[in-house]
Amino acid sequence: MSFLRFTLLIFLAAASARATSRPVSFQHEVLPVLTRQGCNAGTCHGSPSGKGGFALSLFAFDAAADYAVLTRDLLGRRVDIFNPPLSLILRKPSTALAHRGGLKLSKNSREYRILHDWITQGAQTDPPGTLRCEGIEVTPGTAAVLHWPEPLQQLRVTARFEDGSRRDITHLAKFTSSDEAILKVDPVGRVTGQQRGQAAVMIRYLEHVAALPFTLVKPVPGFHWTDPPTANYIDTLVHSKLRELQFNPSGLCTDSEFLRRLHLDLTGMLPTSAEAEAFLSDESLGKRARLIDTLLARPEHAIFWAQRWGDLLRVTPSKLQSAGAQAMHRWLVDAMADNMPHDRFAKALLISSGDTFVNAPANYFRASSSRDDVLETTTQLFLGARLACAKCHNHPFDRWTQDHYYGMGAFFHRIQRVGVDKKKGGKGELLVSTVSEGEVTHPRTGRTMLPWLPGRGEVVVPQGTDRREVFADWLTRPDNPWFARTAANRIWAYVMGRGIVEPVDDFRDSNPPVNGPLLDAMARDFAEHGFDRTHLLRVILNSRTYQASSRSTSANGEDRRLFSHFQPRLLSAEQLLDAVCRVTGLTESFEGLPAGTRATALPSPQMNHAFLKTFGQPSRDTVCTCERATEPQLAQALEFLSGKLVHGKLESANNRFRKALAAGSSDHEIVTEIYWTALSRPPSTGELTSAFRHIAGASDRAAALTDVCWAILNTNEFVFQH
Amino acid sequence: MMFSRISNGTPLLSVMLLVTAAVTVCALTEQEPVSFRSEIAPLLLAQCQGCHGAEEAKGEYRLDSYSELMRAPKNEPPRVQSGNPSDSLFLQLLVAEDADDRMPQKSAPLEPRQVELVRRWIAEGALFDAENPNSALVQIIPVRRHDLAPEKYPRPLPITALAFSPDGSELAASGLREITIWNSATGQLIRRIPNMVQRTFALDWSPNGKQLAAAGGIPGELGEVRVFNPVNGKLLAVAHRAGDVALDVRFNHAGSMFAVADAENRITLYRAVDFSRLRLIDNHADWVLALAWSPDGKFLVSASRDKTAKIFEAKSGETISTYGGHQKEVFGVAFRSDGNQVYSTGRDAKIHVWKAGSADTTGKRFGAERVADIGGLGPAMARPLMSGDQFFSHANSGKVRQHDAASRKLLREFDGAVDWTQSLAHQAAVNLLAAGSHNGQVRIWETQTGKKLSQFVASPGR
Repeated sequence: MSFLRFTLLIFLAAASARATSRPVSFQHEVLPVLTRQGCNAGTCHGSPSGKGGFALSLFAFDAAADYAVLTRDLLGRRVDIFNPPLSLILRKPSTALAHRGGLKLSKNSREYRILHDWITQGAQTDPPGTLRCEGIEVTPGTAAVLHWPEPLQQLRVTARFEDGSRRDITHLAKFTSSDEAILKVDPVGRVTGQQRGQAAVMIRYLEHVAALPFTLVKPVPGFHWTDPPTANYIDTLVHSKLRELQFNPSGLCTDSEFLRRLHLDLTGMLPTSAEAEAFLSDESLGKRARLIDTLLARPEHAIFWAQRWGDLLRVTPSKLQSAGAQAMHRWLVDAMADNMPHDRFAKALLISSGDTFVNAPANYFRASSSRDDVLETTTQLFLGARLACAKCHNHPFDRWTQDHYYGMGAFFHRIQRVGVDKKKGGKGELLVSTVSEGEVTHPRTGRTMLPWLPGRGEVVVPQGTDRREVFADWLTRPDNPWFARTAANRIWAYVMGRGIVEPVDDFRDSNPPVNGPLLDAMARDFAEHGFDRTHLLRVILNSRTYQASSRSTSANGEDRRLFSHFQPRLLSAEQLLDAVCRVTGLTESFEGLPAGTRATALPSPQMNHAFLKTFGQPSRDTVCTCERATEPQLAQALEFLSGKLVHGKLESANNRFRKALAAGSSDHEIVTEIYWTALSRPPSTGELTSAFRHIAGASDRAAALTDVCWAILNTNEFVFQH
Repeated sequence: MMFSRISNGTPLLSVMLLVTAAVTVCALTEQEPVSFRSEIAPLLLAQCQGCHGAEEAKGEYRLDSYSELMRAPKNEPPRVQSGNPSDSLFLQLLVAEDADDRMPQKSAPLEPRQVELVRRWIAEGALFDAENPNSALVQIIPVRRHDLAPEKYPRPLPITALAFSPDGSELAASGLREITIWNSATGQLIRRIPNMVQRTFALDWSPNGKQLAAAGGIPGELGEVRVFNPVNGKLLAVAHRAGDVALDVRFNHAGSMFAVADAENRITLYRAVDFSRLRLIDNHADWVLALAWSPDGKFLVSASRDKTAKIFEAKSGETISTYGGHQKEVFGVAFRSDGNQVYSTGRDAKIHVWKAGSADTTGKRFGAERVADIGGLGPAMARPLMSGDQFFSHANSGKVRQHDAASRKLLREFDGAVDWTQSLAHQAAVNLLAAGSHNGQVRIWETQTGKKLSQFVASPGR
């Protein structure tokens, strides 16, 4: 035997002796290894039905069940305490036996050793009195900025136990990057920047989750900050982020672009040609700010924003009956017109009761017909948290646990809904009331759940008090960190096209805001001004950030998230339909609604309207903003090329240009009017020339004008807000 | 065979060269030729058949038998070129540089030693050294002699199978690569029967007491049913082999045949006298976990991980009834003594009582009718036992229960074990019930009185 081989043997013997001398903890080592290797991920054995007949709890949230599955289930098939290497949980993931999930556990890895030693020691549960892990701490503890040429950071994770002791568990934690294109993190917690931008690293150990936001700064050759002017704090904070990441913002948009953009955002409609001509010829100072005030006061603004809330609150006859949907729509329009403070708005919904046909806010509890639905709706709407995952298991990407879910659910458990149908002398209304009894039972532990609030813990609600009031009071406190931020983010996203947190209702540590200080400042401003929606809107709309051109520059072309320039977006289904009507000077008729009703004023979705459906009108089945489809579809392009609705309006004898033709208007007058109406600007000389050439070369003047109008409707300038 | 293939249109000279080359290599290294059945087949079984098997043939390529492995795909050369490893796609894929191309996909590459075996086997002519090239790989791999169990077990072994001898005096228990035989009354170890596979999941004693059938295996690798002479411990036959464990074995009441359930989703019937195969029932979509015979021996009922229990006619193998009422894996089945009703247990933690009947329109049950159910079991792999008018169940709380079969009333609850009960055995002739626990304990009771007769750890040396 060579010396080398001998040394190796000694080393191996020492290693195995060391490995087996210390008992391996099921809870603190085995389960984290299963998470770390991806065994219990939602796409693998952590899915509700498992994979290949082997089901673990998602990220090991149910340790007892996992222990049973690993050691007892199916006659203890998965571990072999007498011959550990024959254990399926070692042979399969190391691909000694075929494994559909591929190689997940290398035979020489520390993780393999942990599982192997645990089995060798008899695959035991932890002895009674084993310390519980209370939380994890990550170093560095705060947001980190990494710079090229060495955008590297080693993370350390420490577990804190109930007796106050700490242990380095970096090798047992699972690290995930929120955006692999921006940063990567390897299994030992080493972060490497890939390109400039922002991303978070999520760290998981057992049920404990931490997330660390990173900013990655890569010097851009030749970059120099242009130090553009600022209109208010929004610009200051947007600029500070842009400067850090070395982008320069675009300049201001033109008056015509601003006018069209603002009209669409506040009223849902295009400006008329007269409005456009008047605004463009106005040469006074402060005309943009004045226009903002004017449009905020328009009834169309209240109606259009009521439609946005109607989407979220699921205002449809199928959910609320026609009478309920109408009542709710009217209530929302009034709330917007009166600029009802957002805290009062939320409270009105959350503690509503009575007849849903009469007391409209009570429809909140009709659209949400169960305790769980109310909880999930309320948290998504007002806390920006998607809690549904936590119903069955701890949230995979967030701190929410199943305990939180049922603890918060206790606030909405004592709600009674009594339907009054024709037999009972009613018309299908629902009577919403609260009852004084009833508790939530945790489905897994069987425990009776006390009402629980984030940041507050369990709450004792005196008998006789409506639990919902306690929740609503907590929710709308000015110091509630989630309420104002969620609302501010939604308002921002409606006019900027993208949230500072995106998706707008998915706030979590692992999905950090792209500009935290900006969101914080807006939330503070919003709360300090009594949750005044139009105040915040006014601040945003007056910023140079909102008024930035949609044309990118060489110094910001890569940016899609930090608001260096305006992101063009397709008009919504309703906006687009109204815009087509406006250009053609026609109206659209909707089932059961008065003639002339605008699409942006519809109280509830028109389920049979092909055009609206094609362009993504939501059917209001969910509380998610994402229900409105914003992805471009081929069918949309086809609709504008040759679709029934667009074609019909272009061919109509009563449309704007045919009527003008009949009234004897000149080609110049007609074409110019179409440009002003569709694009809020006059045609350029080139555009006029080619339009005239087309008309002159055609035998049928009306048909030629139809072509011109069709061509304008098919431009990006028309179908996009920019 | 090799010669006939090569001589087909190949100049004699090259044949001679080849032979000389082969002889030279052999002479130089003094290596035995690679055996397909003992060296290549086990490798294919463990590493390839998961994706390229009879059930799912990825790339329309199967290698679950020698002839499938050698078959040339349409318009392509055979993937194994006998005598020519470097031109064999089969070998090329094992050593592909790019992990996306390499086989087995998404897995660690085969060890150099394993690749070399394959290379040599192909170089030596890719010969077949068993009887039938169409046989499933698992059937041609030589029968293994399993290692002896340690004299003293290092720790108690979970008791996953138990069976009483016909007179109840002896109790056979699952051991480590062995069957252990215990005195029912005293709990003394009587005998150890070696050469059983690693794990035993079911035991059954033939009614005449002359055969002891044991089902088990190495999870994910091998399934076997071995039949022993329980008196002298002699291995009578390795009656059944499969690529994953055998989970149950049951003699019919006459003792003329026994049925085997395995993790390859099959039920196989064997003749007890010569262990010849009578019938293969391949009707379940997932593992068959348990079996029971009807009292008249005409029907078999099976429990499967495919969430159904099925009744088959033994003679024809035809499905009589499919019961889907558990909607979860079905763990155990038993016929009532009149043969009219079936009791089944499943992961829904309930005992369902049902009978063969006409199909209902919900599509959930095909020719089966639910009569009643009994709750309160844990979701363990509880296998109920039926004996005369008595019915026994166990749960993962460790509880063992005795019910009256007709009324389904709970008659008795035997004291709970501290760990899961994993196995039950009953001998009606002498009213004995035994329960085996995950912590190695065996408890034996008299079922008329509920009196505990003995309790012991069924692990030699413990």
